[in-house]
Amino acid sequence: MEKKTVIYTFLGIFVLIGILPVVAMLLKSVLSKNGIDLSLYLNILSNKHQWTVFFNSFKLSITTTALSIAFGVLSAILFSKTNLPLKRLFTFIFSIPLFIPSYLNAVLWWEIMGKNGLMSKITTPSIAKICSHFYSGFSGSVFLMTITYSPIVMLLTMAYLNSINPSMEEAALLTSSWKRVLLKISIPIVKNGIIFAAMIVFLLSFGEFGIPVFMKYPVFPTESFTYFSAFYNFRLATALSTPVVFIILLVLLIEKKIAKQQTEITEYPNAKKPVINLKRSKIPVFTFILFSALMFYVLPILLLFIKSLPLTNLFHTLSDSLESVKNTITLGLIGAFSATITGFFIGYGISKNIIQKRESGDFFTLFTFAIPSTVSGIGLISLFNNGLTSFIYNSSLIVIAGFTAKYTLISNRITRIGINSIPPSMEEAAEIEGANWLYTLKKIILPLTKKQLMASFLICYVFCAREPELIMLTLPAGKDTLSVRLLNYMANGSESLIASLGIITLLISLVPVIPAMLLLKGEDL
Amino acid sequence: MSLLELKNITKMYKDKSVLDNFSETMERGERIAIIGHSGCGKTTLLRIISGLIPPYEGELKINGKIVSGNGKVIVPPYKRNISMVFQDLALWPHLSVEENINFGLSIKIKNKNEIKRKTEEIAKQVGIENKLKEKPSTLSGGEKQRVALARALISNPDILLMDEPLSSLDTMLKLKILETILSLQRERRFLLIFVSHQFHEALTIGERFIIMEKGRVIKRGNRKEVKAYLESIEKRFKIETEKLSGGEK
Repeated sequence: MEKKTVIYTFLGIFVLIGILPVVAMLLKSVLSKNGIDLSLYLNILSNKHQWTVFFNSFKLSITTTALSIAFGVLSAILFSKTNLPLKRLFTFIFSIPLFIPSYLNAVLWWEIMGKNGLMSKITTPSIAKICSHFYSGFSGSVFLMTITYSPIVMLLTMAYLNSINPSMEEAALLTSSWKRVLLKISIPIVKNGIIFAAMIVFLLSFGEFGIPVFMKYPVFPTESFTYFSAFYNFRLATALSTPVVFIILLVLLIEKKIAKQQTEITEYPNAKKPVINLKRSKIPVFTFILFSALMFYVLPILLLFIKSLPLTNLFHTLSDSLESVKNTITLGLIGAFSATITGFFIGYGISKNIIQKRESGDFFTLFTFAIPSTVSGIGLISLFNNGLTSFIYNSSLIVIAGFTAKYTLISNRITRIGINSIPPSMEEAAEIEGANWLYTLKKIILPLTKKQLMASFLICYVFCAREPELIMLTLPAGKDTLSVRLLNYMANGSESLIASLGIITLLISLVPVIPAMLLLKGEDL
Repeated sequence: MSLLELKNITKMYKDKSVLDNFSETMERGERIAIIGHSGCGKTTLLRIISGLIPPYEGELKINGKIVSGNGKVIVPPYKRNISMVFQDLALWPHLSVEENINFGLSIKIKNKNEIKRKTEEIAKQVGIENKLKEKPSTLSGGEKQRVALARALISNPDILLMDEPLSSLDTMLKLKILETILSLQRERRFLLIFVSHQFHEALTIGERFIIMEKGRVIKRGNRKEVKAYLESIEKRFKIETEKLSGGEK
């Protein structure tokens, strides 16, 4: 089979499951039996409550983005540029919230800040009341979303900082202090990378569902989800999703305008990178980071674990949820496989200029990643809920399609690093030796990108396993996954049951992160 | 009928001509050295001959058969019986030396014993018979060159293209590799097209020479003619540098 055929087939599948559902959804929201009908939009525009919700979404996303940039960039500098001990371990610990379901973070912190949490036991009732009050609505959502999304800024900034040609910093260090080098050289070089990270955080916060639901803070995704699943008002749910789609498009275009040229991630494997010597600050900074790691990341998990004890309780919950565990793993594995393969071929097409207008390929994978799962779920239902494609709508295929559309970006970006690092001459040599493209793919390209493929598979799996909204909207009745079960139990389950299910979800979601991080050790994503 | 005929070959990149109206006829057993600075179109020419890229204009024949023409690659690289040693050698790091060498052969031949015999034979000829099980990353620069050469020669090509293959080696090692290349070429009588920007290297290996600049041929000739031409350039360069340094010694 021709190289172009394979790549365009995958691109076609991606457009079918990622872009067409959004188009179908938009069309359904403006079409009625009598033709074009914009009354729903006029109703939304004249409804004060919807404007409040819109304002809430904006306020939440902007505050989360600003705080995530501040924390993310600072921790990135500490973990990638300084001689701080245990940097890798801290990077892993600070990244944990990104890899577990966001509302599980909410559950974890409930053990500390909630009404009956740790604070109520170790402080005075008035302080506990302040904490409990803080841990709700807007402030609670911002707090949790910053913890959840700042690792994105941290990891991306680290990757970009590591890809600065060391001699650029060394040249500046000959005349300036590290502070000046960071402000005048390093940060400006990675500026576009930080803008990109900020955009991702803004879009993800804008589409966040789990945390606002837990904090009872009305935002767009919770509104459209409620209209869809509680009132089954499909058209209104679709109409409510439309502004989200336009805002995503707008943000993507603004980012493109600001960061005209993407910062390319380049590796300097043999170059010795200059390191900031913390000198006398080393011990205080280390102590502060260690305290933060324990307080903000380890303690909540520890408390949840204690609450899930005794172990018999944990095993009992596990045996009760075996079906959900099985569904989580199966859907996660298939979704991750599908997203990895699709992302790999689209990434290959972009890298090798086979996909015309490569920027569009990138734009669309970013677009489908940014679309909130509630919106993409409604879009998939709009497209596939008909006689012709009912086999997709009535089976797990619709979930797999949703996962593939959403997480293709991850694999596209990770595998492209591997593809770009293979010199063109290696493929050309195979071609001259008589290998067709599929043989070259099997013998040369796939083995050489094995590490990136494995890592993106594991990361896609983690994201698929942590996803509740898409599954709640699209999985056939009677089936659920751990994340959905946990969300249901949070409404009407006992605390110990929620805790033990939380620990099981955490283990299932987090276990693949360790091999993924080991595989990507030294790889600058 | 000539082994290789290039007729009015032109290549453009974004309206910029990198190869301009190149024509040449080459025969079996010849050693052609193409000399020129980087960016003069040497590598583009090799890539067109190999079939990796089509010419923009012009026609390419191998054994009288048109293999590229009308802006298209008509016969794909692997059906041209051509081999190439790349500038960066393009050794596949995840495959052993043995697997690197017989990669192409194992597509064409299914008999494993035959593949093994041929691999060992060529490895012995280039002097890497005791490195077959190793990975390319464990080899020295010279050994890597030999692996690339063995890979290119195992399928007994009619034409061997070499794109600055010795640029990263020191002088002594270069001489040893050049010796190996020359002895194999004399024995197997393939057409060798050797591209280099280093005059001395090219003069050692070639017997017919083409000097290129900005995509055009500026001089053709045998060793004696080209040597005289290059020496005149070197002399001019020496005078100019002496002027610049104000006659200081």
